[in-house]
Amino acid sequence: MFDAFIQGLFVVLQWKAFLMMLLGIFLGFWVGLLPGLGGSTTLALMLPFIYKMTPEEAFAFLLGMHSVVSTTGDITSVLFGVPGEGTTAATIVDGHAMAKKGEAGRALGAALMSSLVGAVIGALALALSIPVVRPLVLTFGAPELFMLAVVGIAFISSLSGQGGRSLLRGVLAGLLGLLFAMVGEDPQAGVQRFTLGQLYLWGGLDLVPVLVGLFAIPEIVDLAVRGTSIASDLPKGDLGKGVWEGIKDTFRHFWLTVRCSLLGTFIGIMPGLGGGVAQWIAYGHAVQGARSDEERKGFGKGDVRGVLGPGAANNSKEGGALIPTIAFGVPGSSAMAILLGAFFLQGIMPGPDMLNKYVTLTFSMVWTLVIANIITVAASLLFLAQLARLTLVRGSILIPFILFLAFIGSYTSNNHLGDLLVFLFFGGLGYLMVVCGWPRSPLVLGFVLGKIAENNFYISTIRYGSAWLLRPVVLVLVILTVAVIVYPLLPFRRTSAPAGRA
Amino acid sequence: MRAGEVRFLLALAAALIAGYALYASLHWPFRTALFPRVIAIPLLTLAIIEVGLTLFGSEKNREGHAIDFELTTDVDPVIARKRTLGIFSWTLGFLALILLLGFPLAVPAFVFLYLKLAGNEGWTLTLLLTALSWLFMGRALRPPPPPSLSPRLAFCAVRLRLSADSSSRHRPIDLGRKAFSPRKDHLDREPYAC
Amino acid sequence: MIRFKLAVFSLLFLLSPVFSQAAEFSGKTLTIVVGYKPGGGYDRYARLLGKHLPRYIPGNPTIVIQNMPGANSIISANHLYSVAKPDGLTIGTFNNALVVAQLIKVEGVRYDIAKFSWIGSVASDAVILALRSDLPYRTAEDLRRAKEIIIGTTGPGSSTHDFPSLLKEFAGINLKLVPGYSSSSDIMLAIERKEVDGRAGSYDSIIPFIDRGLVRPVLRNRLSVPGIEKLPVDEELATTPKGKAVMAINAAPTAIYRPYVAPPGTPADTMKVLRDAFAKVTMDRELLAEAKKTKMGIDYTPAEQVLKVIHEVLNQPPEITKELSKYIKFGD
Repeated sequence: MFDAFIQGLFVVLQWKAFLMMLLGIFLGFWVGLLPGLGGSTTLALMLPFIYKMTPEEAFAFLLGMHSVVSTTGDITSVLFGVPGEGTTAATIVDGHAMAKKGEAGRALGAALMSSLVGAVIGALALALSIPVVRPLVLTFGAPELFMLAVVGIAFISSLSGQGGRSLLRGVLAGLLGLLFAMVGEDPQAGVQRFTLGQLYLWGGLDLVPVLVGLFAIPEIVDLAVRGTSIASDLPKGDLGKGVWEGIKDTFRHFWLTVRCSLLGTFIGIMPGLGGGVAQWIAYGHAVQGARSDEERKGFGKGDVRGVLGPGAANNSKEGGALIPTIAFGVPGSSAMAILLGAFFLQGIMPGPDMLNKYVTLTFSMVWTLVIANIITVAASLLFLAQLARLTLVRGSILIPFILFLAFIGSYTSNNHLGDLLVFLFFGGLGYLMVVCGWPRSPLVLGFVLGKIAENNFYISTIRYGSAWLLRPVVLVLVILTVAVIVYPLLPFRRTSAPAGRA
Repeated sequence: MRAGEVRFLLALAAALIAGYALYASLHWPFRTALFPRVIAIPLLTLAIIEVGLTLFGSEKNREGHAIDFELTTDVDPVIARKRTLGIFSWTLGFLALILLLGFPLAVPAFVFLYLKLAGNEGWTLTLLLTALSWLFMGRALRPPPPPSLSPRLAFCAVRLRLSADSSSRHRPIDLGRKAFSPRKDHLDREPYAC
Repeated sequence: MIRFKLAVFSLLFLLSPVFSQAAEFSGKTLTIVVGYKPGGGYDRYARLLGKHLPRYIPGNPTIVIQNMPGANSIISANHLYSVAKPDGLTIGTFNNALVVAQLIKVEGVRYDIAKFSWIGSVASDAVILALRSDLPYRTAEDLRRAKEIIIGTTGPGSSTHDFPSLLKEFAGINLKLVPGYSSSSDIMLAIERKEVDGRAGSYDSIIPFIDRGLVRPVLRNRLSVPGIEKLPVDEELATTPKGKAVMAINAAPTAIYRPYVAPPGTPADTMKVLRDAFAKVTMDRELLAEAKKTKMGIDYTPAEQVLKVIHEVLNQPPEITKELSKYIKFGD
């Protein structure tokens, strides 16, 4: 196995595969940057072209493209407050807040570096877990997935803010999110729920228009009201230096970055949890790291840890998502489903074979993930400072472009007017929530996890009756849920600790 | 509208949404209704509590600090309100432009209008950025299909259904004309292209 | 003079199909509307066709794919029926089961599938029931005697659910349906986990797992494709003639698995061009090679046959339709 590990590296470094990877990176760079050019859509469009390539080249290209998307998506999120990808929305909360404080360079540096760390850890997890991944994935059935969703929902308490009133509003937001998740056709009886007679809503609300509306519109309104550039204060020092600061932050909070990477990888491994979940749970975990009330209040207003967590998680989950795809032929995300198509195109049947016959190919994919991200981060660093200067441009010039990005980003979800209406509805809602002090992250968490919780709950009960409640992993997760809910509320944490590093 | 009133309205809206959810679930089979009800009942309860608190509880501005950004307070509230209404109007206007012109034209049009009218930018910059956005729409992005417009749909549906039975528009004699003239001329006289 | 004009006119009239054919498509863009998002089966077929079709259409138009997902392709069907122009520059593909949706009067259906200008179908597919290989069931009798077989589904309205649902009702097999899986491949994982025993669905999508040895096909619907001819057919296991008829209607659309239509009222000569193009492209060597590599079956059914299938489904007696709508819902 070790020589396959090394062999994999050489496969990627062959000039043709390497060239393909660079091409993929170039494409993926723009796909991630521009909202509306979804990573999955573009992957699907590229499939016909890889028909003529060898497997190594094909995967270098596809993975090069795909693994980069989460990295550059963070850039758009930080700079403009519009999610470059559905999976990079959480970076907006603190990342864009930092940009508004004039710390765009620092936020970008942190986002990119944590993305790199996340990608490496995700790739490492992929490589290491190859021998053991099958039993791991097979242990997590519907009951465990349900409990995982519950744990995720429990993070609402961490994301709500201090004080009873904040908790109330956080729970309200979370419940609203859960309710919005119920829109669509119910898989139990085929009943249309809350679809208001609209065909468009049969499939439920799409994540991207909801996220773009919820986050982009309030930022745009704020920008218009302020009448200044995004970075309304004068920049704290040269933006270029800020980038180094952000990179150093990643290592200052190294264990947080690692933990969030592991979280992301783990969530990526679980098929059915979807890509949107990892970043929010990582964000929730980062918030838990706040040691005092003042620190907690700093989140949402530009705490670099709020960038590190999601930045790492949305990259590490890619490595995680590859695992079920390769080991079982079951895609861990929609992008993976398309990658699976690529496997078939090349005549390869993912499954146990990937760990025996094609193990070199598997390792070459691991290396692609790592190298593609290194190249992207290195390339981005070159002109990160320039990109950060966009935050100094007059708001009135940027607004039409940000709005345009937001509109297009939502529309390409379904190419339907409904996308735009959903975008505007959640835009209005997001704005109201910000005005009234209702936190938005719990809403997103509820929205993303609602269906997963419901579907797995029913699978568990129909299949196992009530016996599933006593499964060992389930019990562990129940305890974890309680811990997650209670942790931020514990009294001894309220004593003001020495002002934590922010 | 003061912050207190907005808070009241949002909480009320949440309560109404929960109420609607419960109402809609009345006739659903058990499994279909379970989760929505389990969610909507606490939502309704807590929303009512929040409604009560907004009316009777006192809350200094920004007391309940959410882990989220807060809108800027540096700007004079009157100006802030004007600008807020302004940007919302522009956003809705953009939507109207998209519906009327389709994305490829609406984007440069919006860029132009906004930069000129709201931004008061100079002509050079405005025209340059408009041109850039027009190129971008045409080249970089394959123009997305236009969103369907309901009156148009209704109009075309009726019209096509009427003509589909007779298939009158495409009798053989038309072929003679087609060789000489573009086919679409008779369609231009109609309010909607079907 | 008049005779001369008449002569010219009739000459041009006779030749105009030639002019109009080339004039219709050269320099133009032909749009294929797909009722699903990119990456799915319908989309892949459309892109494959889009790559090879221009050669077979005089005038060599550019072909563009437009994805219009929503409501299990009902939105795209409605669009193709009422909004798209019948000038031959827009064609589309949608779920083959939409004929059933029309039959059971699903709300939101605003098309009449028989009135489309049909091109044909480029593939047919069998629906099978596959069970985990280590289970002892091999024959239909085994299945009947089994106490309970657990089948994972994605929810009503998909073949993963409807096929076993009808088997349970009408063939007396003790299937327990567990709906809620987010995709059919998640069900495969559940099979490996022994959470469920098997799954139903399109043969093409299950083949990789049969080859891997994870599952074994046990039953099929009336369509037979190489490899599963010998399997028992669901209709033969039906215990009542009503059940048999219901299963038959459910199975009928799979013969036109990848349907292609033009909007109603597209002129006959344009339709001829399109139909010829499709008939020829589905025999094109390059396309077939590419399709084989990606495991996409190609099997052209011309428009007349498609319409026969459609009329067979739509002309069901009302009791059968009522029975069908009890078990078949239309989903996303």
